Amino acid sequence: STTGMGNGTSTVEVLENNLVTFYENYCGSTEEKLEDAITADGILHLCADLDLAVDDFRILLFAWKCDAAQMGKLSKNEFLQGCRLLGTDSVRSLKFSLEQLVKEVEDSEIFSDVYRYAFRFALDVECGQRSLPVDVAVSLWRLVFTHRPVLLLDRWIEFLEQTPPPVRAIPRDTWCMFLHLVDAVGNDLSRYDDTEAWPSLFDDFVEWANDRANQNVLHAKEDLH
Amino acid sequence: MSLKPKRVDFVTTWADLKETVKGVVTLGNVPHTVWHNRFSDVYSLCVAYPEPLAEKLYQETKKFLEEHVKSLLIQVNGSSEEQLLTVYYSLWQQYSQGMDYLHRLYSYLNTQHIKKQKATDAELLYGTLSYESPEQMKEIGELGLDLWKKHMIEPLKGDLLRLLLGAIHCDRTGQSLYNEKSSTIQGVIQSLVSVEEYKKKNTLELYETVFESPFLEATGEYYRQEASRLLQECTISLYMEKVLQRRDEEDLRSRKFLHPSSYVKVRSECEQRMVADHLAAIHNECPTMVQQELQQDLRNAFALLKSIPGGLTVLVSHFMEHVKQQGLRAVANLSGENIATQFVEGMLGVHSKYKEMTNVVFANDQLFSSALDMACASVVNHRLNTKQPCKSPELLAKYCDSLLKKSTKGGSDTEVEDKLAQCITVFKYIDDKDVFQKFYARMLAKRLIHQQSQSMDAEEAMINRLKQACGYEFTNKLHRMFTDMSVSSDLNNKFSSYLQNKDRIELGLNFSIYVLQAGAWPLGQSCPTDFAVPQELEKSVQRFEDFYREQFNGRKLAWLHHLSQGELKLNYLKKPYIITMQTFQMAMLLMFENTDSMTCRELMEATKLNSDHFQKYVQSLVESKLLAVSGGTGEVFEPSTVISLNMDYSNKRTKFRITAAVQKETVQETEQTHSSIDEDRKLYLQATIVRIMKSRKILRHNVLIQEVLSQSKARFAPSISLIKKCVETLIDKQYLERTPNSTDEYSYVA
Repeated sequence: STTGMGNGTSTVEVLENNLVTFYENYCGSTEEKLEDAITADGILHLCADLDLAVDDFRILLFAWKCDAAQMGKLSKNEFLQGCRLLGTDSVRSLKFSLEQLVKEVEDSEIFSDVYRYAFRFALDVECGQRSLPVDVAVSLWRLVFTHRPVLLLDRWIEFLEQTPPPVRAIPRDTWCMFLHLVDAVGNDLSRYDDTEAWPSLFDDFVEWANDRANQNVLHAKEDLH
Repeated sequence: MSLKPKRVDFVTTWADLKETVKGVVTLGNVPHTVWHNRFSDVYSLCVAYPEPLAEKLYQETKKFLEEHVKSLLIQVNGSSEEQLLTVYYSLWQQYSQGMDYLHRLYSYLNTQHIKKQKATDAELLYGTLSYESPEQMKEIGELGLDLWKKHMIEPLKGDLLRLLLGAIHCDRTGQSLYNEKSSTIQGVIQSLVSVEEYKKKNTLELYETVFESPFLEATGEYYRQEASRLLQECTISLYMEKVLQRRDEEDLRSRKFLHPSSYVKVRSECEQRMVADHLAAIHNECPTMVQQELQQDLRNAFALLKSIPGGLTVLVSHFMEHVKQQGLRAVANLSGENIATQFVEGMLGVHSKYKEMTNVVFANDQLFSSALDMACASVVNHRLNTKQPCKSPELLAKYCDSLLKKSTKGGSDTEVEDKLAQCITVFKYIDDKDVFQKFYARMLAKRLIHQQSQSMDAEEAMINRLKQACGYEFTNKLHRMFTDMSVSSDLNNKFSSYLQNKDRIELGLNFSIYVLQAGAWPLGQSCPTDFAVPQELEKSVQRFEDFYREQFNGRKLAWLHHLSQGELKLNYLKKPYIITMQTFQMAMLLMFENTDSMTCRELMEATKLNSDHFQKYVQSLVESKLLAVSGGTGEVFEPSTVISLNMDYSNKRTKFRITAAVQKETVQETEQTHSSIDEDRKLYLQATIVRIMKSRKILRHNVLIQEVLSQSKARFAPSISLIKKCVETLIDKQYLERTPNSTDEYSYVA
């Protein structure tokens, strides 16, 4: 059974017992036991069992369901809570649930929740980070948009990596507004209006992209002649 | 006579009265007694017994007058074409005057009998009663005018109009057809007004329909032709001249012939036909007039276009562009020694030239004044390179510095004052007033500390001017710098009496300090290098710190030795010299008190100066020839380089100052100033945004941007992108957030 609801207390207990066993499978090292959390090694192990890469979109979804506070660590509570929500107590059922979840987040509102979560997840709070280093942000963008092709993304990342002066960090607001940008302006950025409340980095991006587009047009014309 | 009502025989009484009436309306001779008796007859008829005969009297009089006017019409019609107006006018004069008398003769009928039946004024103005109802009795004077209108003007109006238009046309062309007097024409026209003047409303109706509107049409037609004739014959320049002349002539003509209500209409008709209809032709000529500054043409064009709604726009924009081009020519691409002076004086030259033009040619018109301001502002804030800050604020500050500094070449006090006062003109156009403020403050600090000000009065007057132009907050720090100077001089006095009272301490030298508030001076908080205070000064420094601590407990003193200076007396040369120099230079020379030469390493260790400063100051002493380098070039000072006193030093003057290269503003310093301005701006904008959001709670993006722009206008013109970045910083710091479900609105986080 995948839900404990209405099936009597025994099923829930079985699920709970299984869950703890499931958890303990990945909480092997003394260090982990001390902290009562699955850390890097355990996570790698879990990913291997699930036959997924660590940077797979589905792993991000699992972290989202667990509401994991930070990358690279899953507390017991987080793990158990996530599994309960998914109604899963084994590798097999978890793998199945994650596939279901991929379909579920095709819904824009749920996706938007995952998207916002991703920023918090990637932020290294212990180091006092308030915004994401640009390289982290770039990988995160590629990851969240795995199942949701965004034509703008490559240009955006190229812009972040190329423009002088270099962009160093992405604050939360810029991260969140990027999803709105993707929804609001066309692929050719023709609907972008710089008098609206977009973060200034988007102004720079659109200017850069338009300049480049114009140059391409010019080159194309020269080629014709 | 008796006032008692009595029986009256109407037929005989009316027969007598009629004769007199005839005499009165034709201005014949009516003896006084006759007048008197007829006056009584009117009374008797009105109060007659057994029944009053007023109604009958009225009807008979009306009949008589009708006949009379009709007979006059026959007389007018009988006159020749060229005499018609004259005859009409003389009969009108006679008739209207006569009616005036007759009205008085019938005064009892008017006041006692007719007035009572007449509707009140209020009923006429606001009620539904029509004045024109035929049953309505009129007072005799009004009755007479009404009859004139009906039986004279109505049948004659076509002839009158034709002849009047003809006569005025002749007046325009300077010919004369029938030789009427102007007063006749004017009188005939006026009769159209007078005949209805007694009415309570629409008194000009007859004048307007019978005469004015066809006249305006004819006028329009005349000037339409006149305009196209003139345009074919002459240049636009001459055309404008002639049109102005025609318009003024027509104005005079209006005053000569017409009712005052027509003056404006005639003028606007002329302007419509000769200016508005040919606007494009005049506008086409504007670029040339403006570029060649043809004053007379410009004045004419202004006078003509002013009256046409929107007519000036083209001229104004050409004027603005011209001033801008002239301004840029004067102040862009400056080079050479005193760029600051060239810039300010060049700008002022352009401004005063076109200010004069605005006054003299354009009558100080609001549109042209603001065009001048906009042009000057765009010149002053012009940037060759959009990436770089505008140089103007810095140049203006430098120019002020050059005027306020002690110098040999400066003109008289009043000349300097005048020039400083004019600086405000340029200052007002500057967008980045904060940049000016920063540079001005730095230069003022240098003048004050190094005692280079020409006059404290001039300094203070200038700060007051800036305050007037930009407000107290703008000059607050500058004022505090001034206060520090005077407080410091008190402090020096107190210090010397403190020394006297306390065990009669002798410092062995003259010592004077400035105590400057850290917040008000653009000086940095500490000395940029380590420095060992020379032994000779230690006591003074120590004593002063003791004294100051005693006076102001809890205040911290930071010594800015790099800005201090001292006087040193040299006794080892052929003659004694007194030299003013910087404290660092003095400290180095004092090391040679007991030796004539030492290595750079020794000197550096003794003074504790860091390498940068050491190099700079030792070089300045070598350049001034007080120190000499043994066997070196004097360009690089290695630790082992030996430096010695130059025992052969000589100078024509015995009291002088060593020039300190460090006083000059370096490129680095300028950059520092700009980056500190950028920081200040960010803080200022963030504070402004928080203040606005705190009071408004929720604002749309564009409203916020506009608010911020208008609040910071007095200090600088922030770029939208800078405002946006500040908003982002505040979102990141959680002072603000985006309103949920909206991407275009911010709310304040309490």
